[in-house]
Amino acid sequence: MAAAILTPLHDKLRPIAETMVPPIADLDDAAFLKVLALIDVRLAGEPPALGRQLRLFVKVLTFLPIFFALRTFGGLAPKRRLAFLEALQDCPIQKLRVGVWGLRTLIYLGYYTDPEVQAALGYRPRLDGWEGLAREKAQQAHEVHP
Amino acid sequence: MSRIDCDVAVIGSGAGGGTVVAALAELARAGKRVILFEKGTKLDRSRFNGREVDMAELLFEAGGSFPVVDHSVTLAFSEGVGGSTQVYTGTSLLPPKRVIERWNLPGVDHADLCERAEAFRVQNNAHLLPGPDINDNNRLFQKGCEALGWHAEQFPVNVKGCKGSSLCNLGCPNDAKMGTQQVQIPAARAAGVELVTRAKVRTVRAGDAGGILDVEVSAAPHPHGKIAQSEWEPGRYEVHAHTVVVAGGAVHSPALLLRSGFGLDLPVLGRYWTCQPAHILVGEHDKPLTNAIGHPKSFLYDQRVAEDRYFVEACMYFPFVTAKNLTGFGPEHHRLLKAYERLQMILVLACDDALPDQRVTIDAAGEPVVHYKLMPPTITALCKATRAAAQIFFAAGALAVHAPSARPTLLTRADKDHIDARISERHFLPGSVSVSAAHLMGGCRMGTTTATSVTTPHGQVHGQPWLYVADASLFPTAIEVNPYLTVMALADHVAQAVLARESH
Ligand SMILES: Cc1cc2nc3c(=O)[nH]c(=O)nc-3n(C[C@H](O)[C@H](O)[C@H](O)COP(=O)(O)OP(=O)(O)OC[C@H]3O[C@@H](n4cnc5c(N)ncnc54)[C@H](O)[C@@H]3O)c2cc1C
Ligand code: SF4
Repeated sequence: MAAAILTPLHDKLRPIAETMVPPIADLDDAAFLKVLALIDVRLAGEPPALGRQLRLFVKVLTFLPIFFALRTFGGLAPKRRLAFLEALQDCPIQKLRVGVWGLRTLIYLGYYTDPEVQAALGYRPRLDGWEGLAREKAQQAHEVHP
Repeated sequence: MSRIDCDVAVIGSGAGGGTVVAALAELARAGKRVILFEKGTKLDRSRFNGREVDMAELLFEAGGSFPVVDHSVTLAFSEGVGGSTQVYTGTSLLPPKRVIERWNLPGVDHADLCERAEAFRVQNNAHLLPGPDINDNNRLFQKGCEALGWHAEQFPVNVKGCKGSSLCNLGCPNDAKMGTQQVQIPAARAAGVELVTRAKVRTVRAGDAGGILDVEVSAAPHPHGKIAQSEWEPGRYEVHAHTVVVAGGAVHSPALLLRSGFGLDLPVLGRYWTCQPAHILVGEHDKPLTNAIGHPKSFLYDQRVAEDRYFVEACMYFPFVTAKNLTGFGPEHHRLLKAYERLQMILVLACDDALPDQRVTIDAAGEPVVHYKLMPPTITALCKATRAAAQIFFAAGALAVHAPSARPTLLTRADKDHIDARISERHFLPGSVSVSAAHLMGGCRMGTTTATSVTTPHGQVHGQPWLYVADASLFPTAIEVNPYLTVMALADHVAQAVLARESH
């Protein structure tokens, strides 16, 4: 099992992840932990410093809004959460932009690589390409007019 | 440490190394010992399940997202038998005359490189896909260009028995894509060239009669389960070779030579590193398209490359790569992903300058570190490319276009006549726009003097008659097309010099 890097911060990460990928709000705790576990597997091969930077960045995102809104990130209304992250994404400090980019990319990795999520988006790998598509179409036609 | 002797040692089995061993097959046939070392493993198609996360980890270094130091760009390159040809799309374009002439290298002639590249086109079965095999995504690219009065060029792709699974960048599950693992390396092995996988060359140094390699054969378990063991027992080997050819790719070749200490005599080693920074754009149509089915790439528009330093190609990527490449997050981002079946995709690529401070160095462990920044002319080229792509999407009938360098990023048809104003360098903030590069070049550039280059125009490292380089790191400047055929042509050109040395 991969070392726990982001999983221990699941409570702080949840509002961030839900803002970045809205359907994450529909996941129960176990499913959300699965998303984080996949990220941890990816991070396992990276230098430990990266894990430390990411954990620090999650804490920065959580507590930074206190200076502007007297609330943690989780305490902000959904619209303000989004506006806050968008402001950081386009801010003049490249390190902050990179931090937002990196975290959202990891959350996308944890969520959008799930085969069920991909199928819901209308994607699934067809190893046999055109043949597979033709077969599926024939099957669908058969189901409609058996 | 066990000692092994051979005539020629080739390091790296990608487009460069695979080509070199095929050219050296005649030495093997004549009884000489030629060994090909590859730090990755040999994978067969049964491992290619088309799943993004599995394949990214199995085939790519750093999962396909090797970061440059300032994290503004991620690099994609592969390890394993075939190198990056395992994951390339197979776009087969000849070396451009303008670039080769600008290199102005004695003995590196455009007509000669084209002749070699043509031979590889034939060897790799590169051909134009017939009409019925072209999917909607490519057709719309062509349609958009035509509507604008622009010329969309159909290019050859190197496939044999392609089923159109659109998974080329995740390893072909049908053995249909002709990489070096498919074509050149099997031919070389049949002639007697030895392949040693999971064998990382740590250093090379001069010996009495050639070079000495410090090779480490790994037995470490692979994070993705059972993979083939090396042909050699795990452990450290000292390999004595009369000639050594380095073909580890544009990131690893400079790193290997730097950790071997050649940087002291070669001031530009690792420098003038360059690439074709690229990003994806999507256009949303009103009905589903065949996009993730069919070979992903057949058309490009490159009429502005000389003046504006960009070209654009039809492309298709998988949901995670798409999510990563779209700028931003939140409801609008997810809405576009939900429209996946209705998305048309275009890849925009910039042709970069090769600059001395863009370079590969090594960290304390001797591993590569890439110092690369997106310079203003490159950002301008990407913005121009984005404007061109947006026009193609709308001309093809798209309802909306996601442009990373626009704020807000979504352009609707109402923006159609204001594309130039909406897409701007102002919004292209390195770090927030996803830029990646798979066409990596330079770091061991060819040239005529030690002050300005690492190798001679024949790929021989200055001052080291036994040591050659034969891969994309040789490029003195960025090439303006997809590079693999130029890499092969140059590697073949270097192999002729190696053959000449070995026959003396
Ligand atoms: C996703 C993707 C799609 C692409 N699509 C196209 C395309 O359609 N058309 C096109 O023209 N180009 C394409 N390219 C680019 C093309 O694949 C590369 O330009 C080409 O493969 C570079 O060849 P190379 O020999 O320099 O390096 P590589 O092919 O990367 O090979 C280098 C090899 O050396 C090995 N190695 C490195 N260091 C060591 C060491 N110390 N010891 C042992 N082994 C070592 C590596 O593991 C690797 O296998 C694509 C690239 C990618 C990543
Ligand atoms: S599209 Fe063709 S070449 Fe590409 S992975 Fe599928 S079968 Fe292989």
